[in-house]
Amino acid sequence: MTSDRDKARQQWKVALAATEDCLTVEELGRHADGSLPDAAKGRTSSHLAGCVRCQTELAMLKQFELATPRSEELTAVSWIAAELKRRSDKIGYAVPESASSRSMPSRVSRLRKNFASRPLSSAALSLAVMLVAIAAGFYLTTAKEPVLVSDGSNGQTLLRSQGVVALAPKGDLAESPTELRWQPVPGADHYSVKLMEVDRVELWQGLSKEPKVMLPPEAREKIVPGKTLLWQVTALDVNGQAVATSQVERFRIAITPGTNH
Amino acid sequence: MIAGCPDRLCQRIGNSPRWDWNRGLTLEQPPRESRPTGFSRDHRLERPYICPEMDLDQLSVEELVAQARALAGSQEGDRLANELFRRHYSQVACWCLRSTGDRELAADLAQEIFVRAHQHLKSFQGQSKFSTWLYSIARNQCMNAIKARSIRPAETGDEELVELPGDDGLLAAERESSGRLAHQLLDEALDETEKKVFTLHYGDELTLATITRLLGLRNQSGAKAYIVSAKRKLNRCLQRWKARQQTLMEGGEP
Repeated sequence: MTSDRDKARQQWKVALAATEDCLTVEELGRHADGSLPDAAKGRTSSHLAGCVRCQTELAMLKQFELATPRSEELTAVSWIAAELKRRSDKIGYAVPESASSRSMPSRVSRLRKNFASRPLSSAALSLAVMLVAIAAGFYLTTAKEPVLVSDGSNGQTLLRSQGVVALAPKGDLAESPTELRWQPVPGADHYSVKLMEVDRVELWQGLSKEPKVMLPPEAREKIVPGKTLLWQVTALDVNGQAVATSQVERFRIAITPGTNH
Repeated sequence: MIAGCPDRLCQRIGNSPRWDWNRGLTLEQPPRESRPTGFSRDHRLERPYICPEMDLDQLSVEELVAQARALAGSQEGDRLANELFRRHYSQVACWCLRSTGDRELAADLAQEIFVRAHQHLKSFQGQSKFSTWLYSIARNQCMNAIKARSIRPAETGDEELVELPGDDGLLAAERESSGRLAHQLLDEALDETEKKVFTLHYGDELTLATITRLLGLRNQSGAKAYIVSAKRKLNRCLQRWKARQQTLMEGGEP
């Protein structure tokens, strides 16, 4: 029965996947706001009429475009927006290349380039130095780094009957961690550990016989100030079967005035 | 124009920067009527109008995009991009909250979305509205996050999910034919909301709670009610389809 269910699910998943004929998000957007050229309108409309996938994508796009917080979402959306503003004020959106592995020049290298290529007058330089000093002084006297909740549970206590207790790193850190540590699990032969981005994309995975693992350089270079990362450890028996797993822990190197990017 | 100024935009536009102790380095503004709008009606990018002292509240989203792209890599470009993104905080926050149901995770995801938007702003060609382009990033980020953290959603209700006939073959033509039949069945049997809930649940493997939030379903049991009725209707519709096929094979009128 289970395999029949899986088979049916797989069939529908394949049948409902986007095809080559499906419309792009741009085409759906232009269909929605009526800005498609006349030549494309016919094909778009006829495809949409018969394609449940594109109809669903269009509905999702409209939900996004019209997104107004519902009454029960107001508090959370305001909090997220304030959090985004706070983070962008501190680190902006240009993260170092090592943090995202995309080809975006870091703010540091960009600043260096700007200073190298743009002759500034001494008056402008003096003014810039003065402004930085004032801003740094203001920051040191007023800014307080919000505490990062390490387990993503909004501070509520979570109880798990069979879990690995992660020890460190958790929450906000002053320095980049060199190792991950957890409490040993009886019956565990070895442990599998993974480091992830916040969208759970895996950055690094390692194995250890001990209840700790050293982070190799390729993992450490992913850890940059202000960027939240996740990690999780799974205890495995001699056959490689999972016997216990930890909750997903969060950590972040706190941004200090000297580490802005 | 400042002699020897390396800023190509400054040279291209030909404005005259001057130092003002009250306002800093400024560029003289061209007459209001000659200002380009940032985008033409078909969303193509036009030459931006550059003015570092400009009040950003006065700029439209299209103008912000055009200028942020033109000044990418500079502090002014960052300031413009920040303003552009700030106007979409609520939209993206809302979407991430509905996708995850967790405000901490939603904030992290939203930050990732804006980081990616900043990284790829140069690639935005104005083929659609900026919010549509932002949606494509938000959708991918959220779908990846949802898939990475959730196990396959559990089966809902007593009704079995129907198997699609003719999908046993490995030939692409058979799979294509089965896909067409799936769309035909959904179109024939389900109402608009059922179709969308079904597609998100079985096509994208989203949980019912996520679908309920994303589509803003207000009924008591949310997406679950739509999935239960959709499966029942599809079963009946497939039975009718099989009966019609049987009649056709026997040479009768459908």
